[in-house]
Amino acid sequence: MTKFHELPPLAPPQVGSKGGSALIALAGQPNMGKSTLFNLLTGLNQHVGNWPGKTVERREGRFDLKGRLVRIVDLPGAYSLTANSPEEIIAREFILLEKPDLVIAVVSAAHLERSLYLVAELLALGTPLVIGLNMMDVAEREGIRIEPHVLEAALGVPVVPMVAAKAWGVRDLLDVVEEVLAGKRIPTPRPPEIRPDHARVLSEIQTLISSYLAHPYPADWVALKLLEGDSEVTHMIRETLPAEKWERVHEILRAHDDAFLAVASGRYEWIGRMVRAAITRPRVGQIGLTERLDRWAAHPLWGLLLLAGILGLVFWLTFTVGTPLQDWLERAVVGMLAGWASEALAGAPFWIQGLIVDGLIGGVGSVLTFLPVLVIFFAAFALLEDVGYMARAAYVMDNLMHLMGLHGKSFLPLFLGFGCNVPAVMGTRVIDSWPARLLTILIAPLVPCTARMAVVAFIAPAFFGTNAVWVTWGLVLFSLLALVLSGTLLNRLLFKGQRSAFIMEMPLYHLPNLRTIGLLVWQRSLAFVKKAGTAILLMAVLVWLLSYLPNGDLNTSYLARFGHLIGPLGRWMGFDWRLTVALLTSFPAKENAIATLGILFGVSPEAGLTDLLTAAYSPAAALSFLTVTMLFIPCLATVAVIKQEAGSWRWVAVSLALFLVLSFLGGAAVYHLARWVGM
Amino acid sequence: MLEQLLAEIRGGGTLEVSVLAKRLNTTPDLVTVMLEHLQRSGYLRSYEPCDDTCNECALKSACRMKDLSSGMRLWQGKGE
Repeated sequence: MTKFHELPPLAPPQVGSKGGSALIALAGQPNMGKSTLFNLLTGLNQHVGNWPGKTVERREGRFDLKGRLVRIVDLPGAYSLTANSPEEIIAREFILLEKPDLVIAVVSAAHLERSLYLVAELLALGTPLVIGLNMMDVAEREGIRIEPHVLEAALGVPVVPMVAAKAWGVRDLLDVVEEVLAGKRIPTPRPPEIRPDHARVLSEIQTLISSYLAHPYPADWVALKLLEGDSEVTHMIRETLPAEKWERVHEILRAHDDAFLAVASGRYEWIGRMVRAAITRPRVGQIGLTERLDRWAAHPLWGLLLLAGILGLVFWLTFTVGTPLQDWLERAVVGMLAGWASEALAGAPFWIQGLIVDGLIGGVGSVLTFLPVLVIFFAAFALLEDVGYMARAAYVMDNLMHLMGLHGKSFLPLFLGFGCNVPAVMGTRVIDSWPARLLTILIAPLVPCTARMAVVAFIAPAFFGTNAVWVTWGLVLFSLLALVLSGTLLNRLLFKGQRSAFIMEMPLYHLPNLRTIGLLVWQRSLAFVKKAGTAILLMAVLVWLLSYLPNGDLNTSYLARFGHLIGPLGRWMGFDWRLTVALLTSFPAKENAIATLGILFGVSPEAGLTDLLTAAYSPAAALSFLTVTMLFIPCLATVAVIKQEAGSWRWVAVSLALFLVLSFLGGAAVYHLARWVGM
Repeated sequence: MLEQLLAEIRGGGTLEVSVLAKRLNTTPDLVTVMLEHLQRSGYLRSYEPCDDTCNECALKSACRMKDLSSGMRLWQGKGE
């Protein structure tokens, strides 16, 4: 347990020892307002250059303090006084070698925890110290109440509240500085003490090195830095000590290689006590709201249920608002357009009429009716992203994945899969471990992408009416269950059950920005329309040609012959040849399944595609088709990316085999189960 | 406290800063500061969802990784 220990009162600084002027150093972490205070104090009386031999900027200035000329040096921003960076080395060398009369540590009242580590190290150096407690206004805005006098008592050095940006409290700071310089106020610093189990070791090292140390390095500070594993100090001592002494010190350090953690732990425990003593954080505002909401949203069980509920709500919204609009588009726009085109092309060759009416309008037009549904999907997910909920969803999902043995770093790529599987597979590049990356590549296509969801949103309401929400919800859960089970199985084979740690800091909840959401919806909708006008259009033309050739009769076309050839496979899942062909044509792009059905069934002003489908198939066959769509091999672009990322056709084959087996078994099981319950 | 934090991390799994703060009986801010310290000391590394590996990606402009992880900070134990 770390305890405070009081250093003896410091002797008053020898003002005037620096050529008739007092020397002050400004220390602090980056972005604490140190430079603002420096500019405020020095105005134009400052010089900017570089620290000798370094590319780090050195700023020095002068100002008059009640008739006393003060030279002030703005030290580079440093998190600690350990040799982790050139800035930290410069800051500590300046304090140790130049021995300023006083150090002003600028700390942020809004982020006291962040600032106090450096203060702990400054206190241990024994240099006269004054704390400028800056950004009091920010702390107040964030609902943080600080009691500077409590902090002062705990630290043993003066603490002056201030807002450097508004020059508020700076006069008080200068008054205190003047008092310390004049010896009217003597700080009694209370730095953290090293833990008792390492105190003996520290003392042993101190004894071994003290007689060899050159001025101005204090033996206790050097011994502490050696225990912390400071590379610069270690090098200096190795060069300074006789070989046998260094061997002994080295032996002690090797035996206590965990001392860095013990020393730093002691400082953090000390910081924790300082903060508890001096700060109160009422649970109000954005932070309080985030904490309250996260009790549910980030809970391992309730968080998952909430996520399932939110997904259900998104589907309900989609079917309540999007499906009627889609129906209207199908009947009033696509149907009317097909009727109008048929009339207009009555005198044209039959194949031109077929290509335009059945191929383009029936195929691509049917796909474009997805747009209202997709806009609602995009808007709902953009809203969830923008308010900060998606991070929670990722967290609870990742928790579940870890329970199943999946890799923690996989969750972001997998989450991307809800939009499109291609970036999900590409996103696995951020995973360093090859087995983890490969596993994520293999299972990523099981995340239902927007294109699959659009197919579901088209078919589910037609067959299941008001129950479409539950069917869709069940299909998504079924896909995710398949993902988790496949992942668990593959993890056992590839990972041998290895568990890694992944730490997240989630953003605060905030009000959504409608402009951001609007922009996202616009970009994604535009991308979908472009896809319909390119890849889906090309496939629709190809499918129409195959359904037209060789003699213009669908039932004897190449497509029908192919469909009849592979038909027996589909029968296990309740498909006729048309559903089987629609499924296969979804390989280039998932939406093509609907485009193909539109071509095969045709559309007219009297009957839309959904009417024709419900007349042709049972709900059991529709449910089976949707299940297979969710689990079937991913689209061509995703397969190409799997080849690129996995770097071998072998893994592509494994992936295709996995999805074929999963979709066939899943479809057959769902079809026969649905028939069994009378669907 | 830092040792306790490292022990939690070594236990594996997905950890969240505020949950860690409760387990360590401290504030989320202090946990974040300690994580940054462990990162500077080489025990952890921060996870950048869109780092240099994404620069060559043809789909970079369409990728939502950065937006999805917006506002989040992520760390991972070294050597994992």
